[in-house]
Amino acid sequence: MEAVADSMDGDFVSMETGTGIHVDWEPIRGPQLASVLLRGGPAEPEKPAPDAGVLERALYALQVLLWSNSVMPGVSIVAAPEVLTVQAGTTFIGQASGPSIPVPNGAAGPMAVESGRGIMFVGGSAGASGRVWGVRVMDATDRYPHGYVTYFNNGNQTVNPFTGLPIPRSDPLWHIPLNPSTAP
Amino acid sequence: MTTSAANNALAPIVGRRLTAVVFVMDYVQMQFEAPDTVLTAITLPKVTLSQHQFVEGAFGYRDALCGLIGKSVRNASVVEGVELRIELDNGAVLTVSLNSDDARGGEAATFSAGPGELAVW
Repeated sequence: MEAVADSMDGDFVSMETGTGIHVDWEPIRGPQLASVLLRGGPAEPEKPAPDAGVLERALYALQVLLWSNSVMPGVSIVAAPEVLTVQAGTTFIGQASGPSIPVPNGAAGPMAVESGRGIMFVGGSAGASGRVWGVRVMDATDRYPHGYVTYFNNGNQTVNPFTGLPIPRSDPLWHIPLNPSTAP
Repeated sequence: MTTSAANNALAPIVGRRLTAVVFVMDYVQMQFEAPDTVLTAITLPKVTLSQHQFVEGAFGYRDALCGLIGKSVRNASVVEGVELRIELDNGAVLTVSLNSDDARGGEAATFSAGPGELAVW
């Protein structure tokens, strides 16, 4: 699913998700870096509110947008039937170029991965379930020429960074490629 | 080249029993009685027992893996770029290929020996 941000006016963004669904989201400045109130809904106010399935697809589109276009307001996403809230993580790993990498709240680090091919932060909490425990930022490999990021729970199982639930290797969020060309 | 004993990441499990085999989505984790030690085999392991080899998809593969629960690790080694090799006290040998051609998820395996202690192959 392709997601395209089609307008940005001040702190208000209207996003065309590529499926005919509009998601309006408004960054809210708070004590943390930022948070975003997501309101899924049709473009015209007279249309009925979308069902949970529509919002789920919109949320997925937003995830794609956040990662691919580096508009990364936060890491924790809480989904409700008609309101989606994205809350900011408190820590990000900056890159010389490319998107910032959110670190689970309260995670300690950086620590070296023993193989010497990356760094990690562990002991934090993020994601809708709160079970995103750590993040690894790994060096470039043949498959990932700019490196990659992977999130995991406290059982060292790779998780979806937004939900905190375990995912299979086939999931695009298993290893999230770093790509300097997507720098904001 | 095999790692030396000093930097053998799998050293913490030597002498310890395999306590659990966890099938997670499409990979496997093995837990040992040493605290917080978990070997995550993204490239699925191969079990060799009594000259029989059990590989992913073969009849009896999961039984062979689970049959190792309770067995103690007699030796564990890392042969960089080749395999992780765990020998158990019943004569079984469990190997995880580190050959990049076999890596299905970009990584072949990870080994955690506690918070902040993680090796990745």
